[in-house]
Amino acid sequence: MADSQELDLIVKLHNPNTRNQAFSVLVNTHQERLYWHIRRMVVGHDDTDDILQNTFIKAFRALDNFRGESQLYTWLYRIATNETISFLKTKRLKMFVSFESAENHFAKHLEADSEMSADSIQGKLQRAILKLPDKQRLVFNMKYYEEMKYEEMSEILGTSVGALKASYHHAVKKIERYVVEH
Amino acid sequence: MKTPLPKSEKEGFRLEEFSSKSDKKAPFQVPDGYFENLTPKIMHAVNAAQSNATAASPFGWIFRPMVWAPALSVVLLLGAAYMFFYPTAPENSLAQEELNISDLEDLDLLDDYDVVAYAEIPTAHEAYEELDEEEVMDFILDQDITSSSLFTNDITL
Repeated sequence: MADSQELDLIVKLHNPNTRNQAFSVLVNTHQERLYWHIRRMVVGHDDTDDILQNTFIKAFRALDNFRGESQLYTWLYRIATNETISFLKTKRLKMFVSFESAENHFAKHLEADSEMSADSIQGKLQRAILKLPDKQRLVFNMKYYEEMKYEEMSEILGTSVGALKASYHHAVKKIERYVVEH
Repeated sequence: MKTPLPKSEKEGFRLEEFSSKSDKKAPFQVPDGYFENLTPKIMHAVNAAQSNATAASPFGWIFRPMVWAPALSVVLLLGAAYMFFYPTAPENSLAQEELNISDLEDLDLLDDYDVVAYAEIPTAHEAYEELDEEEVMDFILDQDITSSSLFTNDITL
């Protein structure tokens, strides 16, 4: 979204009379990209749908606190990321209590919700990605799939560029090793 | 003696090469028409959440700052005045007695080494031996620990 369009949208979002219409534009502009960001982390469509709705509900409630210090997309992305990480933490806790491995849980969703075979390179790649720690998987997805710049990722995640580069490099090595060994 | 190459380097799977030859899109299925119906669905959810928030408490006005802030100020002032004019700590309270080191020795309290022994907590050295290098690396990256924070011992977990 161009800067002038974004500024215009922010003004409308802060005006109670135009807020709903402006928010609808915001949702329509960013929904798909946010959906895939969440989906790559939680794998299942239904969970993704819930998290996406929660993200936009929280964003709507926090509109008055948005000061335009970052771009709207960066702000939304940050909310979506926090919601996703919270969801994964809760999920892992539930898995721990039920003695089910979180990786097995997500792998089952992967087989049910995707179009690939488990033995294909793509299948191995997806399983390798699922084995990464959540934050590292987040970094990997943002860099590999969304092709974000490290500086943008740093602004969203609040992590240094150096740490992000190291995390991504390490993730790639782990994934490559996994694909060869399985 | 040379360290053998990792298997991935010998057999040559490179993520970058793979992604250049294939579609990077994650292979997940999406229900038909999902994105076309998503905006009205989200706006409905947002409006419903807003309606629930305003309708949640008929006495919500009680919690507005303009209502409770003056009341709280009065309570705090009264509490401070009471404490000033009616101090609760008697002159001979136990808290005001000085503890003697010999008192503690007489009580035969366990020291830290005894507690550790009974709890069978592994020593730091043993604990670190259980971690492999990859686990340590994952932890450092996950916690965003930088080299400068390692040297200044400035790590908050």
